[in-house]
Amino acid sequence: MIRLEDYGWKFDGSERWTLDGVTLEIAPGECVLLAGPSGAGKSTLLLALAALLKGRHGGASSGRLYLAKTDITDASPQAVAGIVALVQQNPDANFATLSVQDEVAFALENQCLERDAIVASVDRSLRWLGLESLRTRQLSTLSEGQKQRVALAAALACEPKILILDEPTASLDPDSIGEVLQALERLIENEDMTVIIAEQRLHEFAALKPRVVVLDGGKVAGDSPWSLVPAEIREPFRLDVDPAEPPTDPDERNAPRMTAQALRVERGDARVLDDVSVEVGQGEVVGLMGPNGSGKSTLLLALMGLIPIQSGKVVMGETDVRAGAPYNLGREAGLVFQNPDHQLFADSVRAEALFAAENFGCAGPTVDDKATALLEQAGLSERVEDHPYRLSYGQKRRLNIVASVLHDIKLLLLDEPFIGQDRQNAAWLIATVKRLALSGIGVLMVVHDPHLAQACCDRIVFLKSGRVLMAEPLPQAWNRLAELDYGAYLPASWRQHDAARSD
Amino acid sequence: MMRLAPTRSILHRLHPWVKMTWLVGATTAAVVYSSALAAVVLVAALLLVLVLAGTPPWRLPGRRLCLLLAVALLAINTAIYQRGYGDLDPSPAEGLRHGLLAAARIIAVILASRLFVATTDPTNLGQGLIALGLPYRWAYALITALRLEPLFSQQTRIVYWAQLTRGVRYDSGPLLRRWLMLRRLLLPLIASSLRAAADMSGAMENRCFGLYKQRTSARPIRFRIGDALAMASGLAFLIVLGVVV
Repeated sequence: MIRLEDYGWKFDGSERWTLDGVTLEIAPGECVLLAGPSGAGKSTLLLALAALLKGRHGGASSGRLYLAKTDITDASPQAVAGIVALVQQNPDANFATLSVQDEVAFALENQCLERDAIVASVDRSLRWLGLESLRTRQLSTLSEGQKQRVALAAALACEPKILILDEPTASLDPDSIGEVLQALERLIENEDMTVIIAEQRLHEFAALKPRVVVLDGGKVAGDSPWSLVPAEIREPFRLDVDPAEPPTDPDERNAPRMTAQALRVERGDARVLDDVSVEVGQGEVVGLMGPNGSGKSTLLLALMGLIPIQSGKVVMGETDVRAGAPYNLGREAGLVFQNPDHQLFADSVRAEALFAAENFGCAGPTVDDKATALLEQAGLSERVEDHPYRLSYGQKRRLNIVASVLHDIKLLLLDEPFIGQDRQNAAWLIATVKRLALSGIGVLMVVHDPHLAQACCDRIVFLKSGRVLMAEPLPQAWNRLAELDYGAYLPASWRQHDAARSD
Repeated sequence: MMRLAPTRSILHRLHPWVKMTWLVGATTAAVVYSSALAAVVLVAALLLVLVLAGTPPWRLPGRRLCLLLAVALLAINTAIYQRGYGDLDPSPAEGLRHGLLAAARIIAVILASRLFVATTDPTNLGQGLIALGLPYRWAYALITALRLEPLFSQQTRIVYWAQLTRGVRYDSGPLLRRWLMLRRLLLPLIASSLRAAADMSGAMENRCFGLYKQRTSARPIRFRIGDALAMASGLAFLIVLGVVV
């Protein structure tokens, strides 16, 4: 079905080949997981398969790329459209219309099908993905999991032979991941479709029993069936915590870095947070979990005084947040947003690291030395003169964190810092969070992956529909979540333990 | 911000040509008619239609600003005519008339736009424009712009918040420094906007957009007799308003 013969791609302005001599064959009906670190060329390979490189991104190719027996190395996107369907990481990036039914019908309308045929195909696609009840809904009103399923339905409407997914679970909560996986299982079993998925979290796809192709540095570094994939690639991320490192003692958290009491936040007509109380102690790492849309990101914004609080109180150190301006609260607390590109403001990596410190009037030799040390820890010491936009996604995330902590903050708020991060970057993030906590900084982080929460959090606060459902230290939090029937939010080892206990 | 109201009234089901005609007609009437009473009646009619469309005016976005603007226009005109200005003799009644006319005109234009936005599905609007001869690529440029607008607004807020938390202040400091900070606001916005636009166009081409010169529709819209009657009634009302009042 797909054959790459020594295929390579080099973007204009880049010194290296992003894909370099890739030789690969994928048979009809196969399910292939593309794995590998950030920058390995996974997304570029997906774009090449959808013929979205040539003519859209400046660059040069080498080798040949075949779809069935047709050479599509230099083909236009329209030449493979309808045969190869691509679903990008962010579902919003896929949508061209405003409602579910219009989005699913979009490709069919472009193919100039008659109305009856379009309606029949839309019905079938919505049924496949269990979306019939959402047919007339506006896309902007859907949850992330629902959006991802609509993007799948829209891609499947014209019955492609090959479905390509770029990190489909990256920003989904465990329930939504389950929905998407069920849909994929049905497709592979019933439709004999070739499915190619680029992913970091391979363990989520174990049920599909995929073939795993590992890319590294643009080359194929491994290719094996699921059963032969090495455990360190296949299994959930775990961090070997240094046993010499003392766990945070709850009794030492008597100096809370931040206390929020009975917060109520409304946005438009909707009550997003209701009676939410959270506390983060000195040196404590608190994981904020919960389904998509439960109010986690809104809580971080409210804690930083960036959105109005209707009632309740937030105290940061000794400052009442409702009485302080956000630019002053920034001296006490750093907030790292989800997308690294939204928080890069300076013209060089070093200037970016020092940006907040200079704005707060803390710049000087001591901060300079600290910046040098932190940039070295982040593996950025050789990139200090580069423009931040030239860094990889993982490097940008590291720079965001360095830039947020340089001016001696007391509290660090992180909004889904692990999205799109490979194992190496995730390990750096976890180690950094733990190091910051040891220095006394309180950390509150939004996290979906229970394995990552397990690796770095002392306590879990679980939000559901804007209310605190549970706030417990680990490992009691996993037991409590199991009792509350939130098994999907448990690490794999606890899920097995929970299942065994139920039996 | 352009948002379709969540309710589905009879007005929502009217052909977009009808609402385009009403919008152009009401805006023209508001500007051309010089009678304060006509302008006030036009405002009252638009308010009634908004309520019928399930979008009561007290829930409209920007209602406070709109009201404030109207009150300001009324007050300024009344004050100017109260004292007289240049060649104008003092005339409180004339001031009130001019004030009402100016305030009603601005409110009528805003309400007419809101009515159009709140009751017109952008996809139907695109189809209406295609039916008027606009190439479908252009119509989709409008629809995708509407898709991206809330996304860009949200990104602007996030970049602004990220700057605030890193000590950037737009409310103090030398003007030149603030201009330089604005550049720092725009850079991440431009970068992410270009990426979003590129991702979306890739996703559209991957789903056969541009494959043919024409495209079909799963929800074709038809101009029915009811649409013709609604269009004629609206225009008749505006003409009668101009002639009688």
